[in-house]
Order: sequence, then structure tokens, then C-alpha cells
Amino acid sequence: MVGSLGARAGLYECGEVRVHPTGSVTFFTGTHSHGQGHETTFAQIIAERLGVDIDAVEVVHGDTSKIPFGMGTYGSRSLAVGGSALARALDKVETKAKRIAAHLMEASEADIEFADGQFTVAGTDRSVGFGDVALTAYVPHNYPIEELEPGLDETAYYDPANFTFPAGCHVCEVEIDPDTGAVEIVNFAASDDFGNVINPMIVEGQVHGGIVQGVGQALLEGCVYGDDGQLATGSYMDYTMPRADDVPSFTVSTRTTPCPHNPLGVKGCGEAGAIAAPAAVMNAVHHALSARGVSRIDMPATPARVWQALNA
Amino acid sequence: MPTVNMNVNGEAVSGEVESRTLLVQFLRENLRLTGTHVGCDTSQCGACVVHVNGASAKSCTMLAVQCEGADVTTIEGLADGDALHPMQEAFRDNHGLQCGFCTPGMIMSALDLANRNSAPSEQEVRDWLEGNICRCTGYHNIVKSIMAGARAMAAGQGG
Repeated sequence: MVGSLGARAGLYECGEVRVHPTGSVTFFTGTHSHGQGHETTFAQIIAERLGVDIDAVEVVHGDTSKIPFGMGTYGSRSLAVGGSALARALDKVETKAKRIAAHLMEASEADIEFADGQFTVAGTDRSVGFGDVALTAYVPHNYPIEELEPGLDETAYYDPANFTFPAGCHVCEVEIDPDTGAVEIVNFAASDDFGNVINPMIVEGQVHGGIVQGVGQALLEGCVYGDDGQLATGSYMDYTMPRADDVPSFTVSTRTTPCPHNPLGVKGCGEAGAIAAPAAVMNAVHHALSARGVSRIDMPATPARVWQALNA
Repeated sequence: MPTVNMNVNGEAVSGEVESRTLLVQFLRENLRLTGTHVGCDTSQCGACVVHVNGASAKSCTMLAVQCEGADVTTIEGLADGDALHPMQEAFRDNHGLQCGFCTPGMIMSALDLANRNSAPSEQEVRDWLEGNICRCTGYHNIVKSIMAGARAMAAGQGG
């Protein structure tokens, strides 16, 4: 869909689900994880869908000699787009596995139900496990070999039909010391709608990190250049990263309205904290300063800037 | 080149180093103990924190020769085989890391705090982490991990 908006790249994502003869699974994805926990989140989706142990799932990313051609991680898209590709690949795995299970149980494919890792002939007690189907796919002696290739290894590409629209509300309370201009964040609460949440701990962690990045932008971080064009904030000595004592602990929560147009019903999450927090912090700073007649202050609201605004 | 001798993670080691060799270079390049990270090289970020004679120190800000005869502990020295140290376990349980780059330094700093104060308050933990920067977690779960890790260490000593 982004092509119609002028993007010059396809913003789809790929996913390959390779089921091994043992029933363990390797997932190859074009998204990349450098701390977002894809190895956990994607493994959870696979384990839940196929009924395999989460320890039997391996996620491979970041190695272009192994993965299909994908687009990567950006724009809070890894789950919404990469996860959707995974869901589509799992659909294909399930469809093929059902055909194999139907053959094994001499039943019609339409009568096969799959839940909790078991293929069952509807209305009977006949069933076969996912691991047996996986083994059969690779040792196809009792197999519909005329009409079905061996193997259980499926790739899907997912091109999103639309953007996802996460929404939320972040509330910040600050206290400002008029003598020094220092802004202290005394309370911060956030509630976000990311659609369905696969792993709440990871989602909360992403929001925490985003909030502090936003706090940094609002209060601390800024690139300063000298008149000669020399960067004066070239190291952590001079560029103020938020530190643990610059922020409090946060109250974060989620409200779920599933995304209507992707298979997992999920929305972007990674950037939410960094988007909402600067606005919430600066609104709080403006609110506090307005009582002293200050109508405008720019980011970052450093102690020097706040003090100058108060003493203008 | 001078020869330097020290105990690293309980093992006597020695090596020929240039006088200007930093402790972190000696650990990473001579001993191949790459768990200790170099984040900023300017003593700001704390990714390189190790223990020297039981106290936390930024190993990018010490010369290897300053550690002649010293006991040095790095992140590699904490786990007992497959059994993680209680502070490491607390970081895992509380999702105290995301990308993990700051984690070795965070844990070594946290251990020094827990050794001095077995039940630190949230504010004490936050003040102590003044010398450790994290970009991913917003510190929320790191603070939680350290408080839990300190409690677990205290409970372990009591039992």
C-alpha cells in the first residue's frame, strides 16, 4: 500500500517456518532483533499455534545468507508486519500438515481439526500429534506422494493492507525548582492500545525505554554546535543521556482493541513511549511555568533554559 | 614492555602490556574476556565496570599496570557453571535487559551496591547507577532487578 503513497521500497516482510523431522521449528525472519525480544515473541506465537514446546523453537534473524529477502526492523513494524508474515507461514504449515494428517488417519481433509498440537478427526477420538506429522513429512512412506511434496517448510510474504494505529495517553507530573530551573519528573503514567499483546513484559519494557528516550528529548538531550560549526556535545561528557536518577518508575498499562486488518490483531508498540512522552513532559513543564507567566519554552527544557524563562 | 600479574576471576594471569594499556584492553584483548564492554571510552557510560579488590571500577579508566597484584572480577566470574549468580538471575527474571550492552556493567555496579547495602531503596539504587547509562530499558526494570537481586543475595547469605 505504501507504493501508492510514493514509497520506493516494498514494505512487506518475509517469514519462513521450517519444521524439522523432530517437530522442532526454526523461524527465519527478515526483521531484526537487537533487544526487542523477537526471539521470545515469535517463539511464543509459534509454540502456541503449533502446540510445540517454546524451547523447541529457534528464531534466526540478521544473517542474509540464511533468511529470505526481507525489509528489516523500523517503524514499530516487526510484529505487525513480520509477525503477520509468520502467521501466514503458519497457516500454510497447518494446511499442509492437515493434508498429511488426513492421509495418516484415512479421513477427509475437511474433517481434520487442529488444536494443542493434535490433529483430530472431528467427532471421533482418532488423532495424531504434530510431531508424528512432521516426521511423516520427511519420512514419506505412508504419504500422499502423488499429490503432495514431502517436507514441512513454508515461506510467506506479508504486505500490509494499511498502517496500524496504536493510540494511548501519557500523563506526566513535574516539579520545578524556581531557584535552579531543574525539572523533576515525580510521576508518569501511560496507557496504550497496542492491539493484542503477545508478551506483556516485553511490551512494558519497550514503553519504559521509549518514555525515557522521550524524557531525554524533552529535558536533557540536545546537539550543540559552536559558532565555528564544531559539535560541542560530541561525547557523553557533554551530551546528556538520561540517567537512572533523572526518572522515576512508571505506571504503564494497556487497553486492547485488536487491529482489524492483520492476522494477529497487533499494532506498533516500539516507538509509542518516545512519541507520547516528550509532549506529556513539555505540557507538564508549560503548565507549571504558566503560573509564573511563562508562555513558551523549547526542548530540551534544561535547568538553564527554565531558569532563564523564569527570570526573563 | 612491562609484565603485569593479577588474579582475574580467581585465576592468576600475567601478560606483557604496553604501559598505556587500559585494564579493559587487557581483559578483552589479552585474556579474551569480552563480557566487559567498552561503551564510551570516556568513563561516562559504565559498560566497562569490573571489580578491583572487591570494589567497582571503570576498567576503561584504569591502566592494566595499576592492577599489579590485584584481584579483578569480571562478569564472567559470577556464574557458578550453569547456575547464574542471584543478581544475574534477578536481571533475567525482571526483564532487566533488552539489548544487553550495558548489562555487564550494570550487574557489576549492582553487586558492589548490594555488598554494601543489602536492602537498598529505589532512590538509593537510582543514585548508585549515576555512572551507568542504559538506552533501552528506561531503568525501570533494572532498578527492579537490582532490588530483587540484593534481596536474593541477602536471603542466600542468611540461609
